[in-house]
Amino acid sequence: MAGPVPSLDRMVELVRSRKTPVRVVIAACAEANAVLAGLEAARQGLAEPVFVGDVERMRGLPELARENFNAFECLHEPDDKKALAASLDLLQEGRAQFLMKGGVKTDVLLRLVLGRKQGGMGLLSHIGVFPHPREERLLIVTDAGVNISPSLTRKIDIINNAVAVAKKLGMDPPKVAVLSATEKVSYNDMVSSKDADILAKLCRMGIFGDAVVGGPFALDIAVSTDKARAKGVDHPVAGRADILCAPNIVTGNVLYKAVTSLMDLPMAGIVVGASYPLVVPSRGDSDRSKFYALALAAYLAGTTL
Amino acid sequence: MRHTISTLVRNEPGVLAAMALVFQRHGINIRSISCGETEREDVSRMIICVEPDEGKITAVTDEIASLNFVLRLEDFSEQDLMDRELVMIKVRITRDTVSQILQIFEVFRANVIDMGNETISAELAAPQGKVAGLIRTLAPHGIQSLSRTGLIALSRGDA
Repeated sequence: MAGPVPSLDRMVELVRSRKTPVRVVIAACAEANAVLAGLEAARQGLAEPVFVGDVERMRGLPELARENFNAFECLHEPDDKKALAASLDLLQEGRAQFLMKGGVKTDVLLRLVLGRKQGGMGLLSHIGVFPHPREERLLIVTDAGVNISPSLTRKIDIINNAVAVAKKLGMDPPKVAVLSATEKVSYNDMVSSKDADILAKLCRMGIFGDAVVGGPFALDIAVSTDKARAKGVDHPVAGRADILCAPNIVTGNVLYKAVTSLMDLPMAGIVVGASYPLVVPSRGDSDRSKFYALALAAYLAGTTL
Repeated sequence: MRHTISTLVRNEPGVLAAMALVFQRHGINIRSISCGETEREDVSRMIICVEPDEGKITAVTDEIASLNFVLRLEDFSEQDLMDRELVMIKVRITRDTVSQILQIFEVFRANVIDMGNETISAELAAPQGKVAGLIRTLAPHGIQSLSRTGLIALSRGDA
């Protein structure tokens, strides 16, 4: 790849430029928003949807009254759990490359995914990709949606998941900032700073491959070279982070929502760690963010390193 | 058989030495001993773990119970007790072993408290069996140093 993907729109272009579109399975498809997103993905040339679930009910939804499904594969399975299982079968058989959640709860879906224990399955974690507000590049925030209070070992897996995504987006080697409230390490008073310090030491031992992990960093140190300089932090990650690793789901989610709700920036949020990306849109996500989430999943599903 | 003896003793000089003398006279090794003030400043709880030869324990507990500073004695061996021990353990690490050691800590829910260039340290507060399990599992990786508090315990329920 020639350098990092600089924007979400460029990522969309790269997906559209592929000769063969990937297929997305819309699991438990009797839910209008997911179906409309799948149809939009097809119209935009991102992915070809396969609808699995109560297809009869889906066709009867008033929001879909004008839609035509003749061009798409539809598998009728009125039971949600059986529909999810059939969707995962499609992914495992290679007949679809990623999944978008329809009318089922996220925890039900993730539990079923974890239950498959297929090869390549690691820790599931959430990543959000968004444009840097002042620079022509993308940033990744993790984990804003799956792991509530990850242990040190889980943070290693969360970082590894994000690093794999970053590499596919051309950030090579990815620079990971492990966030805390300050760059000072306090083993007794601030667990996030202790974990960040240990993760940085583990990086120096080489357990993250060529990714560079630094921390603890306050957010400003991670994303602003000026602030890093002002605070006297000299580290390859300071001010140049590609990945912002939050200490827990609360921090990750607040950062995610600050980007989307306060700054009104789009965010492509998906779940990674399975052998296929999972799109689990939040009710609060804008249409633009949902579109980019699908695009990101399509991009990752069709990219090999 | 291992015995966990819980005593409430007066919080005054010489108690620990006098208690230790009883075990010395009976030729019993103390596996661990922990002592601290209770909800009353003038009373301490002393938890002593021993593994005496069969038949010796009754003589020892009788003698301890008769000491004038001992307010109460219970042999927890036959009771359902809540027990914990705190261990701090420093293990040698290499690039190849550190992930496995972290997973061991995770399995035992041990908390990493420090990391150097060649070692990583963790703490675990758990029942003695679990502490022993952690130590056994880490032993092949090379334990550089280890510190245990000895067992503390209370009886379950309202007793």
